[in-house]
This record gives sequence, C-alpha cells and structure tokens, in this order.
Amino acid sequence: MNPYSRMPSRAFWRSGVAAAGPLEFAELYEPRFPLGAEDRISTAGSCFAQHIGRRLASAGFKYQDFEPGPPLLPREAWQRFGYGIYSARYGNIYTARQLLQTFERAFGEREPCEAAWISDKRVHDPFRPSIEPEGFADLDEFRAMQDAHFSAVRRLFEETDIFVFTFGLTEAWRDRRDGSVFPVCPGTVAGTFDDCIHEFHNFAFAEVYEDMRTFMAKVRAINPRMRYLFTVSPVPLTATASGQHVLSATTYSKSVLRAVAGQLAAEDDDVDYFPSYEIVTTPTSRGLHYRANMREVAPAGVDLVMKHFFDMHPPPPVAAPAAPWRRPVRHPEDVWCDEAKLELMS
Amino acid sequence: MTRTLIIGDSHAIVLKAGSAWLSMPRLEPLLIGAVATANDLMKPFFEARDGVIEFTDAEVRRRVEALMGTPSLDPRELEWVGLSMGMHDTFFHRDEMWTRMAPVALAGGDRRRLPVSQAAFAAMVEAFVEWPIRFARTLADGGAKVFVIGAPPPHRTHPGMQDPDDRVVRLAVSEKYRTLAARAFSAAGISVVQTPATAYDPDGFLRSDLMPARTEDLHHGNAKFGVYMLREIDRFMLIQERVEASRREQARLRAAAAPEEDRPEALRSVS
Repeated sequence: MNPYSRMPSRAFWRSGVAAAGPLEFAELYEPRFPLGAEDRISTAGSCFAQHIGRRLASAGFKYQDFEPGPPLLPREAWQRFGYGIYSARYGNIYTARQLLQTFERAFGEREPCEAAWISDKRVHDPFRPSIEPEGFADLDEFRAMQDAHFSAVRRLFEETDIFVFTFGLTEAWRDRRDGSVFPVCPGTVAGTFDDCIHEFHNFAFAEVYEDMRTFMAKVRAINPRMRYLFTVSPVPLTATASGQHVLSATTYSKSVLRAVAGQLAAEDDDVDYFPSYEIVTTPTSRGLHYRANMREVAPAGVDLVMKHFFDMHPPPPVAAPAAPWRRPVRHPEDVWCDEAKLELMS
Repeated sequence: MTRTLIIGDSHAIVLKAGSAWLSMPRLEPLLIGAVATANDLMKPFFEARDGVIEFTDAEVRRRVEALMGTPSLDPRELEWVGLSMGMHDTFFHRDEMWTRMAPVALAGGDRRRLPVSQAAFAAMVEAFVEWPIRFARTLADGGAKVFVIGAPPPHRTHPGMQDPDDRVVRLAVSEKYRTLAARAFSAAGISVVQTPATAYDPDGFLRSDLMPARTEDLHHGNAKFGVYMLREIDRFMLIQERVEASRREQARLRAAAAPEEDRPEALRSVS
C-alpha cells in the first residue's frame, strides 16, 4: 500500500485524461460554492470571458449588465460598440493590473496621465479603445460616456454576488509616468506610440498575485459578500513583445496566470477556479477545440467548456431568453393608424 | 401614364386627402397610395429582378396591385416617385428606452439616464432607414426621379410627451432622427422634401390645426398637413425642373461653342 493506491481514477493521467478522450472529463471540477438562481453574476476579463457571460445569460442565470446597449441599436451592432460583451462596457480586461486599475479609476482613486487620445477631431479612450469604433465625437461626449461607465462599474462592484473573471495576459504596455496599463499597445487600435512614454512590461507571478489581492481587498471593503470565479483564457497570445518565441511567451503567461488563480483559490474560500483552460488545451484534444488559426476557441470547444460548467452549476429551471434586438413593437395606436387606415385605402 | 407616384406608409393617406383640396398641374397625373405599414418598411420588403421591383411581402404586393393594377414596379416606366417612408420617427422617439437613456447632451444632471453616443444614435437611425434607402436607390438606379417626403413632427398629446423630462428627451430624439435620416438619404443621392418649419409649433410639436380630428390618432397629420406637404413637393419639383432645364441649356451652349467637328450632329451647320 502507498498513498496512490487509494486514489480515484481522476488522479491518474492514464485513466483521468488519456483514456477519457478529449470530450469528457469526469470529476474535473468540484464547485466550491453553488451558483444560485438569485445570485447576481457579473463578468470581465479577456476575450474568452465573453463566451461565459453570454452562456450564463442565455442559461437563465441572473447575469448582470450594468451598461446595457440601446434596445433600438441592432443586436449585430452591439459588439461593435462594446455593448453586451461584459457586465459593463469596459472592453477586454486582459491583465490583473488592468482590473485593479479599472476599479481604482471608477472609485476616483486613480487619474491616469494619458486620459484621452485625440486624432482627426475624434476622441479615443486609451483604456477602452475599441468601444466606439470611430472614437467619440468630442471631449464632452467622451467625458459624459466615461462618467456613465464609471458609475456602472461602481454599481457592478457594489451589487455583484459572483464575479467571473478570466485571466488573459501577463504582457502589457504601460505609461512610464504613472504605471497605467493599456489593454492594447498605443498606436495599434488608436493613439500614437511614444517610446519615451510607453514601455513594455511582462508581469511576474508576485505582481499579478499582489494586484489581485489588492483588488479583492478593495472590493471586500465595499461589497464583502462578493465571491470570485476565476478562469484562465485558453487563447494563446497573438504576439509577444517579450523577445521570446510566442509559444514560450504564451506558456509563461498562462503558467503565471494559472498559478495565481490556483494560489488565490487555495487561500481564499470565496474564490473558485474553473478549469476551462485545461479542457481546451489538454493534449488529448490535439488542437481539436481551436479554430483553424490554432488560436481562437471553436464554438464546439466553448460548448464543451460550458457543458462541464453547467454539469456542475445546473442552470435555473426556467431559462430567461437573451434579449434580441427589438424591432419597434406595434403599439395599440398603430393598429388603428397603420392597419385600419390601410384598410380604408384598399 | 402617371407623372407622379407617391407611395409608402400610412402618412401617404394624408397626402391623398390633401390632394383633394388643391390642384397641382405639375404633379398631374398623380397617384397616391399607402401600400405598407411603417413596420413593413423596416425589414426586407422587396427584391429587384431584372430592374423590376417585386414586393416580397404579400400584403404590400396586394396593396401595390390594388393601387397600380400590377403587383410590381418598373422604375423605367415611372417619372417622379415620392416615398412616404423613413422620415417618420414616432416608432423611434416613443420607444420606452428613452425613459432610461438619452443622447449624451441630455443624459446628465437630474435626468440620470444612460448616455447614447452620437455614433450609436446614428447606427440606430441607419437601421431604421436601411430598407427605405435601398428601395429609393433601386428606383433611382432604374431611372425614376425619386424623393422622400417628410413626416409630421410629434404630437403634443402623445402619452410619451407628458412627463417634462421625457418630453425634452423625446423631442430632441425626434429632431436628431430627422436630421440623421435626411442625411442618410442625401448621402445615398436621394432628395428629401422636408416638413416645413411652419408645420411646427413654437415647442417643436405638430401645430394643433394640422392634427387629425380623431384624438386617438397620435402621429399623423390631417388633410391640411397633406396640403402643406404637397405644396412643398410641388415647389421641390419646380426647382428640380428648373435645374434640369438649366443643365440642358448649358449643355446646349457648350456644344454650340465647340469646334464644328465636335458638335452634336443637330448643331452642325449645313453646307
């Protein structure tokens, strides 16, 4: 007898993974806390988090959107304007520092040196460069929209019961003057890159861990009941500025993030880790869950992840349908004006 | 043969009523008919096959046939076409969303509504006018002279206009819609015959004497409003004819001043 002889099959690679195949992992995930029908759930993170929010909403969980899109805006345009992607219109939050910074800015604790990027009379938000495809019309509009956004973010952290966050990257571009991190390198989506101002930084384990701890402490001060469900994005880096091969850089980044998520879950009863990263990247899948570019996760891969998720977090009995774009509804007055009047003409 | 065809949503009915009140030789022969509801026109409702417009919505097709004697439209057989569609914004400004959201300039202060950026607002308007613009463009590409007709401004009596804050927001939304819709039609090369400023009261609503007698009708004008719009259409067509005549004359003069061998045959001297 030895300690391994009494261990379940999930503890062994051959029975737990190799023999299981790429589509079904028994006992892969044991939730630390249930997701209740009344739990208010919010999401943030890197691209992969978009899938989680969408699926939670359509499964009938109480998914929160504190900055909803205008109902008259066609649904297909929502993503272009950054609506309906996450629980507020903050765009992708790739790094732990960016998450912390979002909280601090919303609560007035941080004012970045680089507040706006202005080009061709359009204004881009350096920290949400993609949410208005052509930029804001002017500084007044930019400020008004930003104020509303921060108000939504404050409500989100005050009113959320379960915060789902997907760790995406360790690499970031930041402002040398105040350390503010940008979601994308200035000069790519908008803005202008300036070597004297902008610098590359690859966050280490201790920094990511510390940022998350600080973030959680700040949230706890205003909303002690909020719990965390962390995932790591299985989407590899598009490019690295680290000087390493992008494969090595991806492995470093994901390793750090996975280790931080694991550490936080191990230390804190209010933190759970869901292994979406593992489900998608397992060697048994041989890249099966990725699209042809071997980077984006294929819809079937997302389905598989969410199947494992919902197996352990069954959706509430009555699923609330996702709100589609509402063509203007017919009013009682229309029945008279359009139909009755047309009948008069026929 | 019809010289001027005016078709579109229920606002065309008011134009038809107005046409009974006045004589407008420039527009004659004139045919006016409502062939669709505003809802019908916000989704795909036609297809062009070999230059002929076929209506994909059965009800629209039936109404076009009742009006024209044929269920399809051939732009090559039409001269002037006025479209009563796309400029009517009641569907837009009365939406419940404007009790929670507002254009950026009106969202702050005590109203505390979520701001809608100018670009998002424009995208919403574009979605509303997409099919009317496609329709107008298809007619114009087929050779018809196409214009779009303005709709009456909001009614003061509309339930959505009773709350003071809502009223401010909805009136601004209505005005912004009309401006952007007109801009979208113009960008597509389609002229817009705007609702005249005289149809508005000082607060921006439809003048009370232009409102229909039936109080349950909350967004049309009356026959008098139809007269107002037909006069605008008449004025628009007069200007267009003069511009066209001027262009023809300039082309003739240019041709006459050209060297003999470059002139059109009709302008060459006979030796």
